[in-house]
Amino acid sequence: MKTRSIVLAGVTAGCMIGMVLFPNTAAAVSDEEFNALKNQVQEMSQKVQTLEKTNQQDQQQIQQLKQQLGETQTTVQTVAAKEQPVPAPSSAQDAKHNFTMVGDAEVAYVSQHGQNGSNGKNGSFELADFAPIFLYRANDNILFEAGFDIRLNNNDAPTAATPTVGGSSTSVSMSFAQLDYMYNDYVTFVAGDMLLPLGTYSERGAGWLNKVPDDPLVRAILPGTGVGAQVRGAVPLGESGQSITYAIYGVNGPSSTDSSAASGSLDLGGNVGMYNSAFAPNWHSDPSGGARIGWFFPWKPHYDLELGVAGQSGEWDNTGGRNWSAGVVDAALHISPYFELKGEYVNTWYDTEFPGANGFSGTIQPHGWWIQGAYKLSGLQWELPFINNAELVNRYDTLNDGMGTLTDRYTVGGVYYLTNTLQFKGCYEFNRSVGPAAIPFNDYILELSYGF
Amino acid sequence: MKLLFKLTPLLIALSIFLAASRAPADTTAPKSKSKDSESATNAAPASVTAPSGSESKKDDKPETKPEKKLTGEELYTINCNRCHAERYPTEFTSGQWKTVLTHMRVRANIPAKQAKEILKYLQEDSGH
Repeated sequence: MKTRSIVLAGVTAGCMIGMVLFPNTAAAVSDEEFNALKNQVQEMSQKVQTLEKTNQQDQQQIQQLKQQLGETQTTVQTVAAKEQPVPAPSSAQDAKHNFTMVGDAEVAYVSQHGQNGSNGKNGSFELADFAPIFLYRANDNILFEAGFDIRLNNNDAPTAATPTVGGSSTSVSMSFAQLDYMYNDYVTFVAGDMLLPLGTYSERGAGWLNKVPDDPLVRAILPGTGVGAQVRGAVPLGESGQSITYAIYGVNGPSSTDSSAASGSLDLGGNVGMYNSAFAPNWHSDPSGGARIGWFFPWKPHYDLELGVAGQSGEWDNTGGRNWSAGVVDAALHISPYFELKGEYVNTWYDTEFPGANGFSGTIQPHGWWIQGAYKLSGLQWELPFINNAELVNRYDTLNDGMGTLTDRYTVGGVYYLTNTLQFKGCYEFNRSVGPAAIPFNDYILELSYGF
Repeated sequence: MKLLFKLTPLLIALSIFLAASRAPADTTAPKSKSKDSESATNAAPASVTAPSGSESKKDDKPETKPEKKLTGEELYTINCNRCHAERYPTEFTSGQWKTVLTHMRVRANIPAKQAKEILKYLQEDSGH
């Protein structure tokens, strides 16, 4: 349409200009010239008609295309309405199986200073420890986890039994290996070589979690792990984060030492299931039972209290009907992101031979407790670059082995957080120990610890 | 030595005092909390007069607010930071976090629903 108008307008304008500019030339136009102009006009008219036809065809095509576009849009809208939201594909997230390694590694420098003329130890890098935990998630409800301890000990002290042993030694041990089956939200079945919930220390005491490089003395009178089965879980109380936690288990439990000479001695490690033979007498057969119940009460983030009571009991010497039992009370308190206070009280009882080879008989009662306070200096809000990464730690622990040795230990130290999981720790331990198995030295420990 | 042992309870008491005095009012106060309290204040009509008699005594009692559902981030702070320093979501992939949370649910006896909320929070900003 536009083209035709332009052409017509051009022709008209041409005629008008011709008439205006050359009003007296009409008479001078010859027939030939007139015919030539007439032909030109006819040709232009034909071109206009051709263009009009083309234009009409174009318009029809445009209409058809518009119609098709409308149909396509309708189809898209229909499909979009029916479409279900599809999560972004992520092979890692959706995978049923997953293998992950976590754990920690430590390097420690230890120096011991003898008290009252007794020998200490030369200061040395005494420990290098790599403790990976392998986690295999078979599906949403089943997890297999195993922890190993690959350890290099330096500066081993010779003993009466091994007078020539010293220097360094390397050990590889399995710290735990268990299968977890989450039956439902409240019940999890665990089986294998399990960290025992006698208190919380053995389950939450990995190297990079400890603010003091070594364990409280009283943990030496408890077994850290046990082979058996366990039912555990947590029941939330409301929506505030409170929960009641529980664990009930049966494990082989402490037993007698495997040797004919020492078969009457308690072995917390639990060599069990062996027959009493002339080669490796073992007086233990029946499993022990244990349980822990806890209450976790957070009143807001970084402010919480946890209390727990645990116990375990069983015969370590089935031949003699002698029991080993333990009771543990644990508590942890957090006030603000900066302050933490926690501790455990442990009491154990074990029946001994009569008359005892070591002069003791009847029920021996090793017991003790520890308390540890820590304060992050960032709480002082001094805005100093190095101070803000430091945490002060104090611990007091005591152990009465029930056989005449009493040890009190006061530890003062600190943690410097190089990153969130790389820590430099240092502490000095003052021992006050009396009795036949006294610890006659003070020591300091420096440790670099990394959690991964 | 004896002095050190006697100083222990004093040091602990001093730490508690420092923590209590220096502690922020609410270090991880969720935004929704302040929003809720603000909206509650605004919602109270200005023209309401205090009723008399027994009704006023009833109103003097503190209102029992419905428990606010904790977010994954808050639950993470509550359950995880009490034992170890913060682990960043980007440290593991989404699938690895699922495995780690399964492990921690058993190890630290974290209630299942809370563990799921924590997992969601960690997966949102995970390495993948």
